[in-house]
Amino acid sequence: MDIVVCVKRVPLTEEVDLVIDEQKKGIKKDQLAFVLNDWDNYAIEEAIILKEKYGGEVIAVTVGSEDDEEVLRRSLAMGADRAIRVEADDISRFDSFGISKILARVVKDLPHDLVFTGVLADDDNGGMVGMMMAEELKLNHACMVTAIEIEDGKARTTSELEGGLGEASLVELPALITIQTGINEPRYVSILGIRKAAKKELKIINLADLGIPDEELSPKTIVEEVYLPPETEGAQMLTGDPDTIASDFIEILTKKGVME
Amino acid sequence: MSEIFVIVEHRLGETRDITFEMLWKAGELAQKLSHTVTAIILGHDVSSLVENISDRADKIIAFDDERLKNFNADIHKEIIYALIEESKPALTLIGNTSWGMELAPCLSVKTDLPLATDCIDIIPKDNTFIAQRQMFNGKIFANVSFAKSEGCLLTIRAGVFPKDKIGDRKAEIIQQDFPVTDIPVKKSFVEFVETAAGDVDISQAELLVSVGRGIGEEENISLIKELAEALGGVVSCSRPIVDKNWLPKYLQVGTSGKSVSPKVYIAVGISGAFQHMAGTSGAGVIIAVNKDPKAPIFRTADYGIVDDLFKIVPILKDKVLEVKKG
Amino acid sequence: MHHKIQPALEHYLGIPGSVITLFILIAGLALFFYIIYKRYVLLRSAKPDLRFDSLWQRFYDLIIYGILQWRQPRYLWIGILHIMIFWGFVILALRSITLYGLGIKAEFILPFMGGFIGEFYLFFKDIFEIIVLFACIAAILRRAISRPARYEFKHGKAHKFHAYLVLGLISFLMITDMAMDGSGILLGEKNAFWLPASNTAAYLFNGLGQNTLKSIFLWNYWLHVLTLMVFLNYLPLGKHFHIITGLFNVFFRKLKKGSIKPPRWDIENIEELDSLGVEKVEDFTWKHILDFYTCTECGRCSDNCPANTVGRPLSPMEVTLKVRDYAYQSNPLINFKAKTDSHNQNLSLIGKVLTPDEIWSCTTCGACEEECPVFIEYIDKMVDLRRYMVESGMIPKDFQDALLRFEKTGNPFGKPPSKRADWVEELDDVSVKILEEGDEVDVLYFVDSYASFDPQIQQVAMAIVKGLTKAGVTFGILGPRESDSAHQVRRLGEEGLFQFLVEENIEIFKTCTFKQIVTTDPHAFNTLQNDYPGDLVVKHYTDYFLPLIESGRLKPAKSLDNEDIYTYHDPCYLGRHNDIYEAPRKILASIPGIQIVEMERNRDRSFCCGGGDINLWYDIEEEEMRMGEKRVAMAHEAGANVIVTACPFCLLNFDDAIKTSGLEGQMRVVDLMELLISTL
Repeated sequence: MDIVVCVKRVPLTEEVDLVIDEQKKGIKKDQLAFVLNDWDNYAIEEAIILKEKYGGEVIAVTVGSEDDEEVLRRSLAMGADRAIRVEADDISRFDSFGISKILARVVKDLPHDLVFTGVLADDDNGGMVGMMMAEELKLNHACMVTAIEIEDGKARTTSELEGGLGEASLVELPALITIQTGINEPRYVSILGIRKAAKKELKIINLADLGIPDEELSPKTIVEEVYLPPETEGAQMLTGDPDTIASDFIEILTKKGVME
Repeated sequence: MSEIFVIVEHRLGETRDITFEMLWKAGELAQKLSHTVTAIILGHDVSSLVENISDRADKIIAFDDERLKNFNADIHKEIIYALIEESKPALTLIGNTSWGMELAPCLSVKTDLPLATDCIDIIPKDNTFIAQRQMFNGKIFANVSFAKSEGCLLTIRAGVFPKDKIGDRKAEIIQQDFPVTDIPVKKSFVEFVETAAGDVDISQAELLVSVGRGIGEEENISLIKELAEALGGVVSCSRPIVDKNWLPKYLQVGTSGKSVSPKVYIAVGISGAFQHMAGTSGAGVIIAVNKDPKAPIFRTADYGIVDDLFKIVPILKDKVLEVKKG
Repeated sequence: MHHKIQPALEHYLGIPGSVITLFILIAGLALFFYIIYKRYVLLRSAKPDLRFDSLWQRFYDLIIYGILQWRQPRYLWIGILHIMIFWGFVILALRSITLYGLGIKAEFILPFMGGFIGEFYLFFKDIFEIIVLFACIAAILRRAISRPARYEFKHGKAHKFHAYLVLGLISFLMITDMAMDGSGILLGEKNAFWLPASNTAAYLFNGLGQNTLKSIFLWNYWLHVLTLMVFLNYLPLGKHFHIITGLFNVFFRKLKKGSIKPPRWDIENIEELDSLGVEKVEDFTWKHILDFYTCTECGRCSDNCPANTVGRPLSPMEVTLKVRDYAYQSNPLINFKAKTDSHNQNLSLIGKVLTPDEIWSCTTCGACEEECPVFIEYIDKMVDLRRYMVESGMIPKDFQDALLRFEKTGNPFGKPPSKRADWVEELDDVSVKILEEGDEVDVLYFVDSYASFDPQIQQVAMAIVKGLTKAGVTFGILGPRESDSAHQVRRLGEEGLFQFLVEENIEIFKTCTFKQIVTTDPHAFNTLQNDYPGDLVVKHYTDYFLPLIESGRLKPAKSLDNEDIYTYHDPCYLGRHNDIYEAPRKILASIPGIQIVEMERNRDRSFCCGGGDINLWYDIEEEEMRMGEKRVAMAHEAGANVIVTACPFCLLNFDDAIKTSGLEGQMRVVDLMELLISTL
């Protein structure tokens, strides 16, 4: 069961107030910490689980600069066998279209029964790369998957629909699957584990060597402007000392008739 | 004058709300730009679906075939691709749903048309459009434009546009046959799977006290339970809590969880990510407690308390008990 | 002393007594050495440990803790009993050797035991014989009647039988010796009135016939000689191995309290290791395995363990015994099974012998190590076990998240480092310098994560900078360049991350000049002083401020005009691990008009608040009550209504505990520095 997992390094923004950069096309990243995209974490873990069950090879792939190798090392530490980075300076010039073409080109030459990507990335929240790759590679696919089982060369997947509903499907391999959070519990990798993973193979491929014509990589969508959410009227704030707040709180509830 | 395609999403015989929302926006754009709205239905026994939207589109292209009974992105893609090639619509709208997220990118590559996902608005500009969407889980808004091409694809976030009818229309209904060439299908539908029902149905609750990531540790959830108990309400939660296995899935509110419509929805330690808030659109009043004054939830909530939940929640609970006693 | 009867010369079935004694001696010793060899083999296959440093210190400790049994009286009466038995044993050892000698060669006397020294010795021996006998009987009765709780096991049954057996055997040895002497006297041996044991026995045998007496003498002789050899061989099989290994264990004790051992003493670069931490028994160091051999099953560690007290699955004694029994099982004295590949296939301890929760339950407070009379170590073992669990991913998700936040942002909250010094802006009257490259100050104030980000602890930091300013000291903080001291990270078992954070901090330290570091937190103090490389001069704020008060530079002048009664709680990492008990008390006492009481458990018997380690991020389900609540109850019992602490985690834990115990309004907790500042 050879699995290729596409991973992305994204900024950690949970506790942070984001600041727009000067060109207004992105956010200021110098003060931010970077981590492996949450969805990709689950994807790698799922790949390792399947490898532990069925054998085979897990390859982690990313597109980016040297800094992005961090997430490849984490993937290797979790159990991937080797990693590939496509060297491309300034990947912000590519949109999901371009990235998916690059990744598809790389995956084409790799052994793959399954290709995993995360459903979304924490930064652009695009959710396109996975399925675009599937189309490029003419692979069968399943989306937003929360459970995978392999039966006779097919993948039985459960996709998450809305409202608590799921959809079970049988997908013939090879297939591309986008992985949803909660599918498993990703294992911890210690710093030492990551350092030791440095011994595993991490190959760097130059974008030019992939031979993709430039027109195919030119962006189809352009981010014109980014901005902080407009100040809407928003909630009416309850202020004052805790006792006052609590009284106001009770008043609201009473008006709605839930205080019995 | 061009067409605006709207791909109708339906499930188990029901037209989903996102379809009406897209039709509304398409209608609005059509009025502004003198375009027409063409709805595309792929399914089996679609007459009622057609009926549902006959006054919201100018044209309905319906494919009614046994092979279309269950959604299959590959089949949809081939059929819609052919339609797009033929009519060259200015815009194609697809719901940003599970199915939509599978279909749209594949379609984008096949048609070589640009795609913007999870859009919350569409702004016409010159001969093209600007898609407005969010990034960084709602912390940033972005305006996206498209490189030159004829037409673009957009997936639309559910719950953003109204479901109302706009304008007066009577659709011309065109029945189409399933394309002659059989489309090879390598993915088969097995069944629908329901999450375990659990002993509580939050969609029926009158008062919900909902807990999010801000609670920190699993044991602290007892704080929320106590408040819920004091109020005679029910505990619910956002997705991260379920991902961590702290509470069962049937208590999750949001797009991938349940939609709730309580009289009062108290959100504690919830940032207000759209996927979660989408599940609360039916709530009467939303009261949010969060220590971050910039949390997105304060945009959607009716009332807000900016404070450390560990400080204020026990105080609220005590006051409730006090009032109930006296 | 001339014995009328010489066992060496007797004949039994034609075999001379000397041959029999020789046989008993040789066979017994051979078996004994075989057993010891087997036990030694396991030690040899263990990991290296450096225990031959500071030899003078070690000999000194051997005398104080080994010979003088300094820790025994912490449990007073049984402690005294044990001391008696121990000294009795040592003194009687000479006698036993002499007896074997007599069995081989008639009239055998040890060198220089003839004459006055010999007589003097016999007197001592006799006295101790009686003392030991009574002590053993008292011990037996105590075990049977009052059944001390700490001998019980949480899981499974305690090996009480062994205790009774050994006490019985010792008593038997005393009795047989007395019987020999008593009958000997009546058979015409030289007597002395100052030999109480012998004379008592003689008195009891008075009137018996010569043949009977000779019988008694010989019977008791052979029984004694045989029993002693049986006893000797029995020792390495159970808890009484400590009789042999105890003194060695004391000699090899851990001298550097508070520090955590590196993963391997012999390999410095952890990347060269295939695995980290302890998975199997042989992954422990030889000293730790010696610890397992030496456990006396006295239960003093578990009795004082806060985790055990609140119902967590951890009982330190049982951890030791489970591993010991498993080690013995996997390294049997006689291999009945054929040697297969599974020989020495000591499998993973975790899951089989110990549960993860058991290991996560430990707060590293050090109470166990402080009590153990034979200096068994626990903290290093817990950390080693945790290291293995971390490397194999066996850690709860919440730890993973916390560790990721440490790695990415240098603090457990995940807050951006740029905001680490934001608290400084809330101070109007005091200016705090944020050190930059090349700056020179007297004091580097190491704030650490909680004081930087937690609103409650920020107050303590503010108090400290106020104090430093008032004292006229030049100081600065590292601000955004500071990373967490990584104390918790190391004790959680993430050694790689610990080293990473330490390197970061060390590099930053190098960029400025300072005379010493002062910390908010005893944990930071402990790790900077005991774990960080290089000899940093570090002080906890209590140690730093005391001389300033004593010299008059800071004057607590305002008296607290309230009726509050204060009590000081010794934080684990200030008190037990670093022996700082008096400095905080002196500071507290310097406040005019203050009323202070001491809790029953104070100083090295202080009870952990719940900890600044794991407890922050993981919940041990089986807990019956929080440690903080227990400690707050102790303060309440002592008559105090204000608890004074010098540690941020104690502050937070007690604050929480006061609320959850329903004592809000009746009790409160305050940090020592905040209290001090309010009186300046």
